[in-house]
Amino acid sequence: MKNLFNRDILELLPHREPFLFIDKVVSVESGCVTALKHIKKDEEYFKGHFPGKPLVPGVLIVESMAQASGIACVAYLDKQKDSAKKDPSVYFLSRISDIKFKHHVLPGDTLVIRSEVIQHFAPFFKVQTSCKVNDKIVAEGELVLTKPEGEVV
Amino acid sequence: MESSNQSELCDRIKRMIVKAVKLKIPPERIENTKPLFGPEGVGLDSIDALELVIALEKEFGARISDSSVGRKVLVSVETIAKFIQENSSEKPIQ
Repeated sequence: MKNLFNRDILELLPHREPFLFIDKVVSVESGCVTALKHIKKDEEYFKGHFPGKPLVPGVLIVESMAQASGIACVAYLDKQKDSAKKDPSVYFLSRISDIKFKHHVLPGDTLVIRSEVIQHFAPFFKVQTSCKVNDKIVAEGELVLTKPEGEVV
Repeated sequence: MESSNQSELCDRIKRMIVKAVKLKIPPERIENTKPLFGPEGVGLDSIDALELVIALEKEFGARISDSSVGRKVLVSVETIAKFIQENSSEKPIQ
């Protein structure tokens, strides 16, 4: 687990372009992860969301938070095992609770996402997560992720 | 016959369940022996179990250590009450 933030992001997440919403993990400790996602100025979805007034859709902010949360689950299990074993599992998003969107996210912004596992009750992980831009919280709430049945946790 | 302490504990558990999983029925509608999960019972699902585990620890200091314990404890209000009575300390059961 010590080296988690040095690993290639593609080893930590099963997601691939065009649905990879984390660029980099910058810190990991005790099931708590901070990760970055830079929003390019020419993201395809700005053509429609919205013409003349580009805004990052809230659902994509939640997706970034969910992907960071998946890495937090990996870090949590790594801590339990006290090893840095690669865990390529797909974690499924099972519940979105009380997510608040507080500010708009614009082209060129960088999301700083913090996700922390607050409860593990196999196969579920409850994660507290927030997303900041320029040190200001733009979204926060709780997610439940599920590790597929049949996998040892 | 149920003691008043037991009855009070069951009422607290019912209030905890309604609050934790945002049930749309009043606590008194949950019978002590009715299964909490599945369509034949109160209708909770497996994700609700996670919320119950969190609520039990927060409100009663009773920690369910893993899902095999959870499957035995989170059956009905009555089984949860028994678990709380036997695990009043912060120590998890094995």
